Amino acid sequence: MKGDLSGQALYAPNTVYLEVTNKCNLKCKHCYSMANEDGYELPLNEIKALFKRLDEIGTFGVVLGGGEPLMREDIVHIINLANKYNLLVGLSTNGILVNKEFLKNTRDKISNIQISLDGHTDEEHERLRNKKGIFKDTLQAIKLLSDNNFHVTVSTVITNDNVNYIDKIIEIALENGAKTYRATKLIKSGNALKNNLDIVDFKFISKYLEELKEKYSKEIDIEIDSEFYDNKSFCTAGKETIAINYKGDVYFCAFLSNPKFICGNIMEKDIHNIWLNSRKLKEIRQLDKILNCKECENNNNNCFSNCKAMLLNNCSKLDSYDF
Amino acid sequence: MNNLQRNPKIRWRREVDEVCLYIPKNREMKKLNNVGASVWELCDGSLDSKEIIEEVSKEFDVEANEIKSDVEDFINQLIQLDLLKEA
Ligand SMILES: C[S@@+](CC[C@H](N)C(=O)[O-])C[C@H]1O[C@@H](n2cnc3c(N)ncnc32)[C@H](O)[C@@H]1O
Ligand code: SF4
Repeated sequence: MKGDLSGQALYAPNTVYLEVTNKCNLKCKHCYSMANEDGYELPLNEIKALFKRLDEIGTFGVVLGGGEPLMREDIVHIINLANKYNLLVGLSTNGILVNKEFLKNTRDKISNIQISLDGHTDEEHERLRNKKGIFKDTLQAIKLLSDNNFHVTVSTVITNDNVNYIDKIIEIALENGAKTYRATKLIKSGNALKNNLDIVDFKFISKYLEELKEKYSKEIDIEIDSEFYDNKSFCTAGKETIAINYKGDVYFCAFLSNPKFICGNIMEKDIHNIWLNSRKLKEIRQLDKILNCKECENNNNNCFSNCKAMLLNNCSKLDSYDF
Repeated sequence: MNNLQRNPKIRWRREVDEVCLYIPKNREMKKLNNVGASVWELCDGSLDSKEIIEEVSKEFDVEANEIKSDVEDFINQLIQLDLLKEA
């Protein structure tokens, strides 16, 4: 199996992010996927066909997210299907609906469960997550899963509210048995864009996160989002990974929702065909060449030119560009 | 000397000039290029390390003893990561 995209992208994506639903039990202030706007879900047979195809082209794994993936009644079935087609399964959840039955049905079938924890107290966590009483549910899920040998990654979207308490959040992750901690950069997209949430100065924060990574290196694995660094080449979206939303629309990155950037729909076109031949994908892979951020008079922290989704969502110079 | 065989459970894929694979033990994806990719593909259970070194030396047009220790180190790393076994 050989591909030829002149080094631009792999023959097949290594990882596919799949939003299995847009439904959610929360309405977070920062949510890029603007959950709960639409009740439509990709039918199970389409998901099955997708997984089968991904197995054929050599994709390694899928990350199931949403919305809240556990809002789908057939989520266990979806996880089983991914396993049937040899795909590693990552699951991204707020943890609220995790229970013993879910554990029993998915044991050994999920390689990583990412649970969102955005504050070190109920007040802090629930401020961003917009609902009272969920902090304890989230901690319970982290503990229950960890106690049952699931690999749990606790993820925090860094905001001006929680930036001073990251070490405390890491301690909570540790106490509840998480194996990995992930610092996620807030991307101005969806609700974050609508609510005009502030982005923390990434030059300061990346240094601080490195210090924490060093400090906790013996206790927990700390992953720092590549978007915290000023280096475009770190971004693997569209090159090694691809995102499919709950309607089957393919975007190069999950943080994009503007229909202008849809590269195809898996119910109409083969995913591999989209990956190899979509003109939009090819152009977005080369965005660095289209733009010259270093010389741009607008270049400042808010551009975050290392994140292509941020750029596409926010760069005024791209408004007139016809993708 | 024993023949070298890829762990059949490892997911991997040939790309234009590299091999992509997922290493369960480290929970990471890895790219092997040039010699690494070639060694990986040669570990189909039919050759031992000496024969693999000979093949690689022909393919890359270098003396076998120039690459011997590097290739052996690489093979040992793959064995330690449970990616290869001696058949
Ligand atoms: C969209 S959610 C879906 C899974 C699940 N509902 C949850 O909240 O964990 C996936 C992850 O993206 C994060 N996220 C949401 N909006 C974001 C944004 N604007 N920037 C960065 N991360 C964001 C969430 O905090 C969560 O960790
Ligand atoms: S971030 Fe997750 S939990 Fe929050 S609204 Fe979005 S999908 Fe729901």
